[in-house]
Amino acid sequence: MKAILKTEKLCKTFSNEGLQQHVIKNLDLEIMEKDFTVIMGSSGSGKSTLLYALSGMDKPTMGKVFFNDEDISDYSNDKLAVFRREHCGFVFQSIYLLENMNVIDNILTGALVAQKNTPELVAGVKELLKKVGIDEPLWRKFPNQLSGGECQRVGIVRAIINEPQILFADEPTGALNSSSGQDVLDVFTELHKSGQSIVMVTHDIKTALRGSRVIYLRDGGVVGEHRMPDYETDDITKRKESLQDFLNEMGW
Amino acid sequence: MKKILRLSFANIKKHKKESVLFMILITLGVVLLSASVSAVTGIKTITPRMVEESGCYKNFVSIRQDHYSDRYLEFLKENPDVESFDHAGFVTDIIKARQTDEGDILTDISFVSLGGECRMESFEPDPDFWSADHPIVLASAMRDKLDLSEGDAFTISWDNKEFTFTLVGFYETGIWNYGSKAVVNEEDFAYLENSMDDRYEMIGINTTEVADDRTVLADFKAFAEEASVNDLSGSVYAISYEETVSANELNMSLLSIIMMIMSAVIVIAILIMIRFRIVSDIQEQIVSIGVLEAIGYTSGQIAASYIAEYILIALVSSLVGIAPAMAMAKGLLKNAASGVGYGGSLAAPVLPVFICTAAVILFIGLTAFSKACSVRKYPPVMAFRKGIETHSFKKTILPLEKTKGSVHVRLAVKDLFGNAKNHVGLTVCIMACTVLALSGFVLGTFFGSPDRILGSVCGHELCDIRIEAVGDVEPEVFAGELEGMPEVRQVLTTASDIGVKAAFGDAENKSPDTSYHLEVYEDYSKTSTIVLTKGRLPEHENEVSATVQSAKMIGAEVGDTITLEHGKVKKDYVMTGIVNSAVNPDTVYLTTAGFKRMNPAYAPSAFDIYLNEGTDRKAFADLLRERYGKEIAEYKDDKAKGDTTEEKIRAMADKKMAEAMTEQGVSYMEYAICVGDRIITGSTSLMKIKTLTFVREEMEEIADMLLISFAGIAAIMMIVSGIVVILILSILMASTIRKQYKELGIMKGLGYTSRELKFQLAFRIVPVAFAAVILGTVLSIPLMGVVNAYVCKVTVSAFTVILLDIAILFYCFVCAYISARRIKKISVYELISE
Repeated sequence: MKAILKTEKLCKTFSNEGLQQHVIKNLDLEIMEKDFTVIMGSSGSGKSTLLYALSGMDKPTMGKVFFNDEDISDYSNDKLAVFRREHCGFVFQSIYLLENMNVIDNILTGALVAQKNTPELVAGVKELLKKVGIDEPLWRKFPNQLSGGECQRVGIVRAIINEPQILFADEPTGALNSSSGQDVLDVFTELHKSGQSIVMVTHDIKTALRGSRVIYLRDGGVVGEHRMPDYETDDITKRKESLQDFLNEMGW
Repeated sequence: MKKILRLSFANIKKHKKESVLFMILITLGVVLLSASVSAVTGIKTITPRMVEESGCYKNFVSIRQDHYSDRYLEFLKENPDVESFDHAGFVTDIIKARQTDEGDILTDISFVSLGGECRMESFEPDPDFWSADHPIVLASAMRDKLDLSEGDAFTISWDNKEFTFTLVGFYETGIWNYGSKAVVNEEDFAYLENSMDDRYEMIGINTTEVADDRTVLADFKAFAEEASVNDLSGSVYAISYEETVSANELNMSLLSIIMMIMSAVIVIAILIMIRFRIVSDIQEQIVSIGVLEAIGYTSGQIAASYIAEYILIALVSSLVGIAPAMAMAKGLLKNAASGVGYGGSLAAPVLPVFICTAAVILFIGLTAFSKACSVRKYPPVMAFRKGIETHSFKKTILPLEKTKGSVHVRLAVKDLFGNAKNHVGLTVCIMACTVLALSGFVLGTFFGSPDRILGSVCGHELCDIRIEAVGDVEPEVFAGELEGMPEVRQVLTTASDIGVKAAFGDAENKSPDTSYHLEVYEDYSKTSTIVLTKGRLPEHENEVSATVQSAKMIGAEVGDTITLEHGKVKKDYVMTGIVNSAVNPDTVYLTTAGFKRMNPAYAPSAFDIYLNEGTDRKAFADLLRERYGKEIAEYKDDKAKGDTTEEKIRAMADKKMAEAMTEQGVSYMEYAICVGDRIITGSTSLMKIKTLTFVREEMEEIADMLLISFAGIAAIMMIVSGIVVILILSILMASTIRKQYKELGIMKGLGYTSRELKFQLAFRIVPVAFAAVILGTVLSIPLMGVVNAYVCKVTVSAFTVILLDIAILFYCFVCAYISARRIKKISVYELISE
């Protein structure tokens, strides 16, 4: 497998009134293509900061980020925006649907910035919506008329409509109830099975179980990583035990 | 109260930049409004002060001296409505006042004798007046214009003559010939009287309190016409005190009124933006409002904090604005006073400044109150849920699945229609600014070129040189001679100083009482600068045309019949056209044949000479003098004495002949003088030129003055509208970005670049600005109509207007795009980690 994302001595420091907080420290990491990478760690370990540095949402203070061997750490903000729309998809914990737009328009807002409006695109949106369980009656509804799970599934469709090379998710089930969370995770699993590269931040074991590789962060550095047993061949109990052991080892 | 103020201060601090922009806008509005109202109030006192301080008469009648008779005064002596009166002669001419690096200053000066001025005003000469060599006291308005100071040698030149005075001082004149008067001693006045052509007798009249000034003046004119053997219609000019006051106020207030209109636009913009901003603030801060309500603040207190916020901003802006407003009011007042030649001390009235400032604060408070009260609609729970208004259940406007072109344009227009109500205010603001900018531009470009003014709005034929002939000149022969000169392209014969009375309706039923200056040409197709706004110039003997203002005064339109009266002969004429005129407003136009209907003995006495391109006007004038003699006034000049006895005798004989020709109407004289065994002979055959005028040169002076005033007004109008547009768009963009911070952050996260989002935000205002610019252009039409009706026909091509509209639209877009630059600061990461 080829590394789709790579960091070299990645650092991220926040300054506030003269005080500097080093959130990511000299981090070297490789994210493999078609992998479902889960980033775990305790609060303040730098998970989300790493995710946004990897995805071009934020610029590193020092060090480099390579996407398909191209250094994106020196990109301007506008170039990063173009990079995001062409190569990345995002699923946020707070979902962030545009409240004044209906479901279809929310998805097309993300799609049309990267590609032209074609009958195929609209058909693709509808197909994906059906695939994630958002049926036609909901398509013209506004976000405040949908449940949290439905909103997040719309968010996932918005993230994958441009067929991104990599999908980033920041605690996608964090704001959902258990049942809605499982539905959303099922969508991620399906995407991974279809070959989608995914990087997900979570502190929920049930969510992490869906990944193929778990990276554990502490104080801004990778302290361990774990390759999960394969979906197809191993049963869920084995995966659970394997992850639990790893996390115990990491001091979770 | 403390709590409310604390909340207000917190809001101001939070939105520092917007608050500062508001302060600038309010300060600008307060300064312009207060200053213009104060100036207009102060202007009303200038004319009465001029009368009071100078002790001059209130009503005036000026009569050309060759038509004046003391007999006319009998009417005034016997009239019980007349309290007092007196008269004095004055001479006037356009003179070269002094030489500067840029060239000579040409100015119109009316010279009056010391005795004359003392009779007409309470003039007291400086003690130096008696000891100085050729003393002169100038109207104070000329101090700056001519850049002179007491003790300077003041040299004037006119018609190849030169005279040097000693400038004794300056004085505040009354309301007759204000600003252009000069007092000289009796001896010098006698010299000027003999050497300048335009000599008048000015009669000052004060009436009793119960008398109607206009009636007294009209009766006086009627009496004078009755008593005179001459036709006085073109040589008597009367103006009542009431007319002087209103004309002065209108002239002086023009700039202030334009500024008042501009300030009204700004105040409207402020009120609209405050409404918009409070709505945005409430939407943005709705959760905080819920929290405040939950912890015990009443909705009234929260609403009061918004009102207090804007009142505080308005108060600070007003405090900042009062001093500049007072300074500007004083400047406007001084400028207005200089227009009527008043240079006395003037203080701008303070009360209007405070009243205007208070009114602006009150309106801002009321506007804030009307919108801030909507806080009451949000009890804490609804506020926590961000108010039902943020939840959209509306039909989707412009669904993205139907996007054909740019998604950015689609999103911009989608948002625009989704918030159409919020954009009404912006439309009004941009529309008002468009009216200002467009009017300023049209006035500026139309009057911005002296050639354009000369070529199309003077309402007067502009030849290179005009000769007014005297004596036994045969018009056709003389014109033929002139036309035969190789330097001459064309000669047109015309009349000089003829007046007619005109009234609407046919001659049988009408008795015209208003006098107009008459232009007479044989064939108007040969004229070049009498430009019509409507119809055509007269071609037949029963046809007449009039300037825009004359037609309005008469009340006639093209096709109407009007009555003209000259020398007690009344005739009907059909109005064929309306002529542009900015500088020559009270004129009517007849053909030679048309005028002969009223005056069969009429023979043209003036000759308009058009020179071939490249001919030196001055050199040609010298050639004319060589061929036809000096101007008649020069022969009357005492100083024109020769060196030899013969020359001296000839000069004296010429002087006598010139006096006889100009004062007794003698058309031809010969003399033979015996000196010892020699006989010196001569005749008036070389005295054909009464006056020689460089018409175009003189008109260029007037055009230059118009150019400066209109260009200044136009520039102010355009600059103010430009500033207002940039300020309101900055406030609008700042509020929009604040309100849509989250949405814009999400879109950035989805891959929209800052540039694309800036474009979207700026493009939202394009349809609004487009509608506003169209409406503004439509509204400018009646405004231009007012100018057309009262000043002159301002023409501007539709193409130019369209270009300007596009420029305004582009300017709005650029301002909005630049104002939206704050979008760059929105960090997706910050939004996500909130």
